[in-house]
Amino acid sequence: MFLVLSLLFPYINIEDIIFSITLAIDIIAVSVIAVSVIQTIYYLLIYNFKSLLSSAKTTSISNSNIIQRNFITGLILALEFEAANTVLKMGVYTSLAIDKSPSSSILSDNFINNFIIFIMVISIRIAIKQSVGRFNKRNSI
Amino acid sequence: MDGIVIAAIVQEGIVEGATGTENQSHLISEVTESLLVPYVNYLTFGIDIAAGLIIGLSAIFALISFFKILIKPIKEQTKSKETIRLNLTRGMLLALDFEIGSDILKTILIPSVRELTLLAVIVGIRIVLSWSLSKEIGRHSTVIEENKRMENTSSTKQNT
Repeated sequence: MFLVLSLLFPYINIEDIIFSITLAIDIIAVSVIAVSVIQTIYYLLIYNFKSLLSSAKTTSISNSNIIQRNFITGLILALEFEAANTVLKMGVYTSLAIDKSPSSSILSDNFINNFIIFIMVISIRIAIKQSVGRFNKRNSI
Repeated sequence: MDGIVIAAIVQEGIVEGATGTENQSHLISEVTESLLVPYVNYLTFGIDIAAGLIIGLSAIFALISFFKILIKPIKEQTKSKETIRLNLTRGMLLALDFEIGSDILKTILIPSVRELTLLAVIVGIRIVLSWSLSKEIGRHSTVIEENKRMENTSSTKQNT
Protein backbone atom coordinates (compact mmCIF):
# COMPACT_ATOMS: atom_id res chain seq x y z
CA MET A 1 0.00 0.00 0.00
CA PHE A 2 2.73 2.41 1.04
CA LEU A 3 4.83 1.46 -1.99
CA VAL A 4 1.89 2.00 -4.36
CA LEU A 5 1.15 5.36 -2.75
CA SER A 6 4.77 6.44 -2.93
CA LEU A 7 4.86 5.48 -6.61
CA LEU A 8 1.61 7.29 -7.39
CA PHE A 9 2.12 10.31 -5.15
CA PRO A 10 4.36 12.38 -7.47
CA TYR A 11 1.91 11.96 -10.36
CA ILE A 12 -1.29 12.79 -8.47
CA ASN A 13 -1.82 16.49 -7.99
CA ILE A 14 -4.35 17.21 -5.24
CA GLU A 15 -4.79 20.76 -6.54
CA ASP A 16 -6.03 19.54 -9.94
CA ILE A 17 -8.43 16.99 -8.44
CA ILE A 18 -9.97 19.49 -6.04
CA PHE A 19 -10.07 22.18 -8.74
CA SER A 20 -12.11 19.88 -11.00
CA ILE A 21 -14.47 18.97 -8.13
CA THR A 22 -15.02 22.64 -7.22
CA LEU A 23 -15.58 23.51 -10.90
CA ALA A 24 -18.25 20.77 -11.15
CA ILE A 25 -19.96 22.05 -7.97
CA ASP A 26 -19.90 25.63 -9.35
CA ILE A 27 -21.59 24.44 -12.55
CA ILE A 28 -24.19 22.55 -10.47
CA ALA A 29 -24.93 25.67 -8.38
CA VAL A 30 -25.31 27.83 -11.50
CA SER A 31 -27.64 25.28 -13.11
CA VAL A 32 -29.76 25.12 -9.92
CA ILE A 33 -30.13 28.92 -9.96
CA ALA A 34 -30.96 28.92 -13.67
CA VAL A 35 -33.60 26.20 -13.26
CA SER A 36 -35.14 28.01 -10.26
CA VAL A 37 -35.33 31.32 -12.15
CA ILE A 38 -36.87 29.74 -15.25
CA GLN A 39 -39.34 27.77 -13.14
CA THR A 40 -40.36 30.87 -11.16
CA ILE A 41 -40.93 32.92 -14.31
CA TYR A 42 -42.93 30.08 -15.83
CA TYR A 43 -45.14 29.61 -12.74
CA LEU A 44 -45.63 33.37 -12.27
CA LEU A 45 -46.73 33.74 -15.88
CA ILE A 46 -49.16 30.82 -15.58
CA TYR A 47 -50.67 31.97 -12.26
CA ASN A 48 -50.93 35.61 -13.34
CA PHE A 49 -52.63 34.58 -16.54
CA LYS A 50 -55.04 32.35 -14.59
CA SER A 51 -55.80 35.10 -12.04
CA LEU A 52 -56.47 37.55 -14.87
CA LEU A 53 -59.01 35.15 -16.30
CA SER A 54 -60.67 34.22 -13.01
CA SER A 55 -60.14 37.55 -11.16
CA ALA A 56 -59.61 35.77 -7.79
CA LYS A 57 -57.19 37.98 -5.82
CA THR A 58 -56.68 35.88 -2.66
CA THR A 59 -55.63 32.72 -4.49
CA SER A 60 -53.23 34.70 -6.63
CA ILE A 61 -51.53 36.20 -3.54
CA SER A 62 -51.15 32.80 -1.86
CA ASN A 63 -49.83 31.31 -5.09
CA SER A 64 -47.27 34.07 -5.50
CA ASN A 65 -46.18 33.45 -1.89
CA ILE A 66 -45.69 29.76 -2.63
CA ILE A 67 -43.74 30.58 -5.79
CA GLN A 68 -41.61 33.07 -3.88
CA ARG A 69 -40.83 30.50 -1.19
CA ASN A 70 -39.96 27.90 -3.80
CA PHE A 71 -37.62 30.35 -5.52
CA ILE A 72 -35.94 31.26 -2.23
CA THR A 73 -35.39 27.60 -1.32
CA GLY A 74 -33.83 27.10 -4.76
CA LEU A 75 -31.47 29.99 -4.15
CA ILE A 76 -30.60 28.67 -0.67
CA LEU A 77 -29.87 25.27 -2.20
CA ALA A 78 -27.46 26.95 -4.62
CA LEU A 79 -25.88 28.83 -1.71
CA GLU A 80 -25.46 25.51 0.11
CA PHE A 81 -23.54 24.21 -2.91
CA GLU A 82 -21.31 27.27 -2.75
CA ALA A 83 -20.78 26.77 0.99
CA ALA A 84 -19.74 23.16 0.33
CA ASN A 85 -17.39 24.45 -2.33
CA THR A 86 -15.76 26.96 0.00
CA VAL A 87 -15.41 24.34 2.74
CA LEU A 88 -13.54 22.17 0.23
CA LYS A 89 -11.37 25.02 -1.01
CA MET A 90 -10.51 26.11 2.53
CA GLY A 91 -9.47 22.61 3.54
CA VAL A 92 -7.29 22.15 0.50
CA TYR A 93 -5.66 25.55 0.55
CA THR A 94 -4.68 25.24 4.19
CA SER A 95 -3.20 21.81 3.52
CA LEU A 96 -1.36 23.07 0.45
CA ALA A 97 -0.03 26.08 2.30
CA ILE A 98 1.29 23.88 5.08
CA ASP A 99 2.62 21.12 2.81
CA LYS A 100 4.50 23.35 0.41
CA SER A 101 6.32 25.44 2.96
CA PRO A 102 6.55 23.76 6.34
CA SER A 103 9.01 26.29 7.69
CA SER A 104 7.55 29.50 6.26
CA SER A 105 4.33 31.30 7.05
CA ILE A 106 1.01 29.93 5.86
CA LEU A 107 -0.36 33.47 5.52
CA SER A 108 0.03 33.75 1.75
CA ASP A 109 -2.18 36.10 -0.33
CA ASN A 110 -4.08 33.18 -1.85
CA PHE A 111 -4.83 31.73 1.54
CA ILE A 112 -6.08 35.06 2.95
CA ASN A 113 -8.32 35.64 -0.11
CA ASN A 114 -9.85 32.19 0.20
CA PHE A 115 -10.32 32.63 3.91
CA ILE A 116 -12.16 35.95 3.39
CA ILE A 117 -14.39 34.33 0.74
CA PHE A 118 -15.08 31.45 3.10
CA ILE A 119 -16.11 33.75 5.94
CA MET A 120 -18.25 35.88 3.57
CA VAL A 121 -20.12 32.90 2.12
CA ILE A 122 -20.79 31.45 5.56
CA SER A 123 -22.03 34.80 6.93
CA ILE A 124 -24.27 35.39 3.88
CA ARG A 125 -25.64 31.89 4.32
CA ILE A 126 -26.45 32.54 8.00
CA ALA A 127 -28.04 35.94 7.20
CA ILE A 128 -30.23 34.49 4.44
CA LYS A 129 -31.26 31.61 6.67
CA GLN A 130 -32.34 34.08 9.37
CA SER A 131 -34.33 36.22 6.93
CA VAL A 132 -36.02 33.19 5.38
CA GLY A 133 -36.92 31.91 8.84
CA ARG A 134 -38.57 35.28 9.61
CA PHE A 135 -40.36 35.20 6.23
CA ASN A 136 -41.72 31.71 6.99
CA LYS A 137 -42.83 32.77 10.49
CA ARG A 138 -44.65 35.84 9.14
CA ASN A 139 -46.45 33.75 6.51
CA SER A 140 -47.44 31.01 8.95
CA ILE A 141 -48.99 33.58 11.33
CA MET B 1 13.61 4.25 0.59
CA ASP B 2 12.95 5.17 4.22
CA GLY B 3 15.14 2.28 5.35
CA ILE B 4 18.03 3.67 3.36
CA VAL B 5 17.55 7.12 4.86
CA ILE B 6 17.43 5.71 8.40
CA ALA B 7 20.49 3.55 7.77
CA ALA B 8 22.35 6.58 6.45
CA ILE B 9 21.41 8.65 9.51
CA VAL B 10 22.42 5.87 11.88
CA GLN B 11 25.71 5.31 10.02
CA GLU B 12 26.41 9.04 10.13
CA GLY B 13 25.83 8.97 13.86
CA ILE B 14 28.21 6.03 14.33
CA VAL B 15 30.88 7.58 12.14
CA GLU B 16 30.76 10.86 13.97
CA GLY B 17 30.95 9.00 17.24
CA ALA B 18 27.70 10.29 18.60
CA THR B 19 27.84 8.88 22.07
CA GLY B 20 26.48 11.84 24.04
CA THR B 21 22.83 11.98 25.13
CA GLU B 22 22.26 15.17 23.16
CA ASN B 23 23.48 13.61 19.94
CA GLN B 24 21.48 10.46 20.61
CA SER B 25 18.25 12.37 21.17
CA HIS B 26 18.93 14.41 18.02
CA LEU B 27 19.47 11.18 16.10
CA ILE B 28 16.26 9.65 17.45
CA SER B 29 14.25 12.74 16.56
CA GLU B 30 15.70 12.75 13.03
CA VAL B 31 14.87 9.06 12.57
CA THR B 32 11.33 9.54 13.89
CA GLU B 33 10.83 12.56 11.67
CA SER B 34 12.04 10.75 8.57
CA LEU B 35 9.65 7.90 9.38
CA LEU B 36 6.71 10.01 10.42
CA VAL B 37 6.62 12.81 7.85
CA PRO B 38 5.87 10.72 4.73
CA TYR B 39 3.24 8.66 6.54
CA VAL B 40 1.46 11.76 7.85
CA ASN B 41 1.69 13.36 4.39
CA TYR B 42 0.09 10.34 2.74
CA LEU B 43 -2.58 10.11 5.43
CA THR B 44 -3.55 13.79 5.20
CA PHE B 45 -3.48 13.57 1.39
CA GLY B 46 -5.87 10.61 1.52
CA ILE B 47 -8.17 12.32 4.02
CA ASP B 48 -8.29 15.52 1.92
CA ILE B 49 -9.16 13.49 -1.18
CA ALA B 50 -11.85 11.61 0.81
CA ALA B 51 -13.37 14.92 1.97
CA GLY B 52 -13.37 16.20 -1.61
CA LEU B 53 -15.03 13.03 -2.87
CA ILE B 54 -17.69 13.18 -0.15
CA ILE B 55 -18.61 16.76 -1.06
CA GLY B 56 -18.51 15.98 -4.79
CA LEU B 57 -20.69 12.88 -4.44
CA SER B 58 -23.24 14.60 -2.20
CA ALA B 59 -23.41 17.49 -4.69
CA ILE B 60 -24.04 15.07 -7.57
CA PHE B 61 -26.74 13.23 -5.58
CA ALA B 62 -28.32 16.58 -4.67
CA LEU B 63 -28.36 17.63 -8.32
CA ILE B 64 -29.97 14.34 -9.39
CA SER B 65 -32.68 14.60 -6.72
CA PHE B 66 -33.20 18.30 -7.63
CA PHE B 67 -33.93 17.34 -11.23
CA LYS B 68 -36.15 14.50 -10.02
CA ILE B 69 -38.42 16.80 -7.97
CA LEU B 70 -39.07 19.20 -10.85
CA ILE B 71 -42.01 17.04 -11.98
CA LYS B 72 -43.76 17.40 -8.60
CA PRO B 73 -46.25 20.20 -7.77
CA ILE B 74 -44.73 23.44 -6.49
CA LYS B 75 -45.70 22.98 -2.80
CA GLU B 76 -44.05 19.58 -2.59
CA GLN B 77 -41.03 20.94 -4.45
CA THR B 78 -40.32 23.42 -1.66
CA LYS B 79 -40.38 20.64 0.97
CA SER B 80 -38.24 18.34 -1.16
CA LYS B 81 -35.72 21.13 -1.76
CA GLU B 82 -35.34 21.50 2.01
CA THR B 83 -34.72 17.76 2.32
CA ILE B 84 -32.11 17.90 -0.48
CA ARG B 85 -30.43 20.83 1.23
CA LEU B 86 -30.33 18.93 4.51
CA ASN B 87 -28.75 15.92 2.82
CA LEU B 88 -26.14 18.18 1.24
CA THR B 89 -25.47 19.78 4.63
CA ARG B 90 -24.97 16.32 6.13
CA GLY B 91 -22.39 15.55 3.43
CA MET B 92 -20.68 18.87 4.09
CA LEU B 93 -20.61 18.15 7.81
CA LEU B 94 -19.00 14.76 7.23
CA ALA B 95 -16.39 16.32 4.94
CA LEU B 96 -15.72 19.03 7.54
CA ASP B 97 -15.13 16.34 10.17
CA PHE B 98 -12.67 14.65 7.82
CA GLU B 99 -10.82 17.93 7.31
CA ILE B 100 -10.68 18.58 11.03
CA GLY B 101 -9.11 15.12 11.42
CA SER B 102 -6.61 15.95 8.70
CA ASP B 103 -5.75 19.26 10.40
CA ILE B 104 -5.19 17.48 13.71
CA LEU B 105 -2.77 15.13 11.95
CA LYS B 106 -0.98 18.09 10.37
CA THR B 107 -0.19 19.56 13.78
CA ILE B 108 2.51 16.86 14.08
CA LEU B 109 4.41 18.39 11.16
CA ILE B 110 4.16 22.07 12.06
CA PRO B 111 7.34 23.36 13.63
CA SER B 112 6.56 26.83 14.97
CA VAL B 113 4.08 28.06 17.56
CA ARG B 114 2.78 30.84 15.28
CA GLU B 115 1.65 28.43 12.57
CA LEU B 116 0.23 26.11 15.17
CA THR B 117 -1.87 28.99 16.53
CA LEU B 118 -3.14 29.79 13.03
CA LEU B 119 -4.07 26.18 12.45
CA ALA B 120 -5.82 26.13 15.81
CA VAL B 121 -7.87 29.18 14.77
CA ILE B 122 -8.87 27.48 11.50
CA VAL B 123 -9.79 24.27 13.31
CA GLY B 124 -11.79 26.32 15.82
CA ILE B 125 -13.75 28.01 13.02
CA ARG B 126 -14.43 24.64 11.42
CA ILE B 127 -15.60 23.17 14.71
CA VAL B 128 -17.97 26.12 15.26
CA LEU B 129 -19.28 25.73 11.71
CA SER B 130 -19.87 22.00 12.08
CA TRP B 131 -21.59 22.61 15.42
CA SER B 132 -23.94 25.20 13.87
CA LEU B 133 -24.64 22.91 10.91
CA SER B 134 -25.48 19.97 13.14
CA LYS B 135 -27.77 22.20 15.19
CA GLU B 136 -29.52 23.34 12.01
CA ILE B 137 -29.94 19.74 10.88
CA GLY B 138 -31.44 18.83 14.26
CA ARG B 139 -33.88 21.76 14.11
CA HIS B 140 -34.96 20.90 10.58
CA SER B 141 -35.40 17.20 11.26
CA THR B 142 -37.70 18.00 14.23
CA VAL B 143 -39.74 20.35 11.99
CA ILE B 144 -40.02 17.65 9.31
CA GLU B 145 -41.08 15.06 11.92
CA GLU B 146 -43.72 17.44 13.31
CA ASN B 147 -45.07 18.10 9.80
CA LYS B 148 -45.25 14.36 9.11
CA ARG B 149 -47.06 13.76 12.42
CA MET B 150 -49.54 16.54 11.63
CA GLU B 151 -50.16 15.11 8.16
CA ASN B 152 -50.70 11.64 9.64
CA THR B 153 -53.18 12.90 12.25
CA SER B 154 -55.12 14.89 9.65
CA SER B 155 -55.28 11.88 7.32
CA THR B 156 -56.53 9.61 10.15
CA LYS B 157 -59.16 12.25 11.07
CA GLN B 158 -60.31 12.35 7.47
CA ASN B 159 -60.53 8.54 7.35
CA THR B 160 -62.62 8.36 10.54
